[in-house]
Amino acid sequence: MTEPIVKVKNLSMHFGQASGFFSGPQRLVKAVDNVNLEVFEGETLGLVGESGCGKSTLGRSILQLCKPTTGTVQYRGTDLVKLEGKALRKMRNRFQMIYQDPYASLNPRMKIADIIGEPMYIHQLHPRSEIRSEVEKILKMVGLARDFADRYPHEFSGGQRQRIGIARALAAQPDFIVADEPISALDVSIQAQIINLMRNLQQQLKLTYLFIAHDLAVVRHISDRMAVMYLGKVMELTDSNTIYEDPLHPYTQSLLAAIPIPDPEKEREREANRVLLDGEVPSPENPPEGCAFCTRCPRKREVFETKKIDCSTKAPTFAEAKPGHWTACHLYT
Amino acid sequence: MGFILFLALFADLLSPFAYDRVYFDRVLLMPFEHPEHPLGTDEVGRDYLSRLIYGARTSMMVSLSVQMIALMIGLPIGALAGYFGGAFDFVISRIIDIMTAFPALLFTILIISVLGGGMPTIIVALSITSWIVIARITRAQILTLREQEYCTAARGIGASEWRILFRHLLPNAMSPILIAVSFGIPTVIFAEAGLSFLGLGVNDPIASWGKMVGASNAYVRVYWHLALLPTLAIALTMLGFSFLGDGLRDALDPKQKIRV
Repeated sequence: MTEPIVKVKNLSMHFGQASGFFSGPQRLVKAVDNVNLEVFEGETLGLVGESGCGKSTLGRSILQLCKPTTGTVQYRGTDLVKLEGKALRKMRNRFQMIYQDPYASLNPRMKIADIIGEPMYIHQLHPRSEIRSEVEKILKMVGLARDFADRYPHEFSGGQRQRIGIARALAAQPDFIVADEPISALDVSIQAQIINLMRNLQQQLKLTYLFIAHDLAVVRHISDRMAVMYLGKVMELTDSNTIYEDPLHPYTQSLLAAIPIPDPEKEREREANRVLLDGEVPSPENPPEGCAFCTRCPRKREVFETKKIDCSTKAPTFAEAKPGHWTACHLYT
Repeated sequence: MGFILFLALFADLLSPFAYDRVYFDRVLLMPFEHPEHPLGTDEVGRDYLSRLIYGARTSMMVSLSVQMIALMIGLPIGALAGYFGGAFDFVISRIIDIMTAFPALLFTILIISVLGGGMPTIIVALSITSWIVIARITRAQILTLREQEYCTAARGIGASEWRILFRHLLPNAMSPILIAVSFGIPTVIFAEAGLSFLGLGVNDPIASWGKMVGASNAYVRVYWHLALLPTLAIALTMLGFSFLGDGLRDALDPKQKIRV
């Protein structure tokens, strides 16, 4: 791991509900709140968290598919947030996204050749006469037959469509790809194929991934480091293996405890000292003061007794607890 | 439908008589009463079959040009309002709201009475009320499609706003718009017929189905064919265009295409 290819600093994405004539005071949803991340060249950073915690929004705001409220996103030293219009469009081929829903993300009225060829055409990556053969090359790379190029998206299955989505991303010749839950809409048998395809492509093309998912096992399989998000904030960030073996943040601990193990004896053993979370995720419209996790944290009391800190008033900072292991919890400050 | 268009195009060749040829000695003939006039004649002795055929031309000309104009005005305005939103969208939406709330027939009558009768005026007047429908549908389509993920994806690969609008949104919005256009044609035919019936339509002696119904008012008890035949023509044409709309909907769906 060398230089960070993408450096996210204090990134926030707040959605304000439109304040019209009759809607009263504006309510603010902090979908992503003050996130700091670095993605290093050639690695896969897994991003996990439960539904609605802002993982997709984070991915989208890194790629400037929605303009972040505050913060910076540096891609190889260029701040993407400050780029506008044409300058941003010109750079877009270098960071691409693979979308969650392979059914909605392909234009139903375009042939596969046009879908995959479009980024090449826009960024003039190949002379126009060669686009067709380049499209066929990429189709082969993602494991699709060359004559698929003349068909329409609806003629394909979910897994094939996702391959087309990957092909479109690759056609732009990116080095950084945000994969927004690329497998959650697919059958389990197909999931493994897509994951393996993505890994092979990563090695072949030296890609860097930000891999968003909610399936912990899958993320562990593919990623080098992992970030855990909760209510718009990154709670913990470290090597994938460390996070499984030695999770620091209470939220990560309870997440891992919730993974079922297909072994009844071990499962029963675990039952005894399992940390179960009570209650619901607070609404992001009205997040708790202090630590975002304080309403459900099983170790809140412990923090108060050992550190004399009240989690519900004072927010922890996201800091390096051990070398290369970052977490946002008072227990480790 | 094709038959009606065919009649309209080749009215000169097909009709046995000119639409304004008057036979003073053959006034108000019943169908088949005279071998030269299979559908009889009207109150001033014009061949009814010829008038019906020329009436198709009037209807087609008015309805097609009105819908063309409506499409040319409504499509860009609706697309821009839907895609870029903002102040432009607000102004357009309010205009659409006001025009929708206003009874269209009264509005056309108003315009015609200001500008005077005649075919061009009718076309202008009906276009002014028709583009609203197209603009509203286009705007609604663009608004929904804009949120589709493939639109985000297009932005993600660096497509410009215009490229997204023309390559990704409009092709997908086209089929409901074209269907609206083809369903709009019978509406216009009917409106033209209604205006002509009221005496505000095309000028004499040009044949128009609506006017023929209107003129036959006084004789309808005895000479029933004078009212029935043009009404039938209007009904069949409207039915034809409704079928065309349905057909278009199926034909424009890429999922329905059969691969050989």
